[in-house]
Amino acid sequence: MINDNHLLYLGALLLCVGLVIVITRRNAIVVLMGIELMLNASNINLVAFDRYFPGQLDGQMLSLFVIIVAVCEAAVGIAIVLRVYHYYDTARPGDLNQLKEHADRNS
Amino acid sequence: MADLLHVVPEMVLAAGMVLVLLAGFWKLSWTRIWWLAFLVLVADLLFSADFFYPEPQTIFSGMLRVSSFAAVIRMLLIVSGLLTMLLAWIVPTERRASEYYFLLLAMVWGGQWLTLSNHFVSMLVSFEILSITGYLLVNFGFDQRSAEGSLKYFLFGAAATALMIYGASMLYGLTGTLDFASSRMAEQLADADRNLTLIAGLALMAGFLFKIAAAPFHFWAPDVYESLPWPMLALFSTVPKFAGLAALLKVLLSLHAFGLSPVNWTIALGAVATLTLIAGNFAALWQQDTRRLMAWSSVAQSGFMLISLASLSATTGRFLVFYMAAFAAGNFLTVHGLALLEKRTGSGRIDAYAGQGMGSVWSSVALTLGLISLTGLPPVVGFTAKLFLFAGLWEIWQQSGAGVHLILFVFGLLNTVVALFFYLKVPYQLFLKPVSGAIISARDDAGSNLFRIILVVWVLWAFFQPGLLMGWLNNLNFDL
Repeated sequence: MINDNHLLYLGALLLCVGLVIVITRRNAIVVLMGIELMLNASNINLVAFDRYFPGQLDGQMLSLFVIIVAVCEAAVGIAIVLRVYHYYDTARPGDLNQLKEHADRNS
Repeated sequence: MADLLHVVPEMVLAAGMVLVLLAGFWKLSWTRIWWLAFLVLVADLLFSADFFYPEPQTIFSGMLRVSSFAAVIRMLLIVSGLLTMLLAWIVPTERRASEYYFLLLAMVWGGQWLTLSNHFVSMLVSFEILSITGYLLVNFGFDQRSAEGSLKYFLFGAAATALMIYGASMLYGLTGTLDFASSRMAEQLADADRNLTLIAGLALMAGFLFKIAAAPFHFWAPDVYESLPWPMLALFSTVPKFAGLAALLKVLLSLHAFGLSPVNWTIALGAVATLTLIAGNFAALWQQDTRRLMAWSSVAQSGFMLISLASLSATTGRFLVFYMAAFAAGNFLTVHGLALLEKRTGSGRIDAYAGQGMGSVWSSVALTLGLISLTGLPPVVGFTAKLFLFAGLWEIWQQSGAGVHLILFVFGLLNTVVALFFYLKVPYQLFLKPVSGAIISARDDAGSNLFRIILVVWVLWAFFQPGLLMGWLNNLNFDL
């Protein structure tokens, strides 16, 4: 049987999958997808908690706002990725090398 | 509708932002748009001057909470915005000026909402205004470096924000309310499960720690700061930091639940503050690039402010505000000096400044005063701010006897000594090293001189007469 806790486990699993993607994957677009997974994990949480507090709409409200925020972030993020692609011909943050610690460290 | 009267400054700024954006339709020169944006911020400052409440009140059915604390932070944010705009005279961004100044104002606007927010919905929305304007503003260098900086900032920020939202959703599950100043939150947290509360609180802190560039979410800072023009660097190290710290203080006070919380948040914050101080100060020691130096300095200063936060009492709020005011003055003075120095010598490396101090004496002296203020030495306000901060911490240690306060006290003082070495590297090069080539001299324009004089007078005056500002802060009610 599926009970409320299973929904929370699903949320936690999604968060972990998203976090692992963000940390390990090299492509900015894939990282963006990982971030979307993390945001959806909190949405699942918020809606699942509604079972604990029936008649209260706060959770659904926040999840609506999270969806809006995710859309805005994705729009800005993809625009930024496009700009980076325009300059570097790659969307891998690891290949961007203009900003880094300078080699000579004499003081 | 009566609630709208409490947010008049925000509404004035919003109307002004629309005007600045509309100004982009006409082919106005960037100076005109600059004046428009500047006047909007001045109007915002004037309107924000009388919102110091004797008693905090909740408005918009629990979404926002107006208080003297929020009003003081709001003034700090606006003044930081104004000083950033003045810096923009030295390094102007002329392309797409209306959008640039619109986003600059929007960042200050988001910060104002964030300090007012009292509910996870309003907090999330204002946090995102602050974040998204930040992601976009990094791009305004229109080159490879700024694109790279903004991608790094964005990926880091989006992940930290996602963690923060997850923390908020867990707290909703634990307490059944999203209003983090409500008594229900405190009551429910008192019997909440310890591990779940800890995970929720740490996840929630992630977003704020990213915003204020504190460990372990500070890795973006040096790369992003390196890609920023000087005015933006100054803005990024003040506005998001002040707003983020104010909101973090509010959130943590509600997590603390008047000491009823199953988790000892002082220790968690103390650990974060310690890590931030170590990371910031020791990384700054090796920097040769002035922008990266300022980035690590900004990380280290966040550490000091987190120390003040770690005592988790609303009364230390006034020491925090004093520290912010001192930090802003020192930071803007330093950025101004470094920007002029970079313009004069054409290099962003500290060792390129050897012996150049005599080329523009007053500029170098003002830069030195700014750096001394950031270090925390007399005779400038940075010393007073650190004195208040550590005196407040000492008092709290004597009252509570908790070892964590003493450790933070000793550790903070030790880090002040470390800070001495990297901040004073610049004046050392300027004045004591022999010059390698010719001394490049330059005359500064009237605007630069005025900017410098105002800030120098402020840092000296606040050192010799700290009672005036502190007395004013003491008279305000700092209940959140």
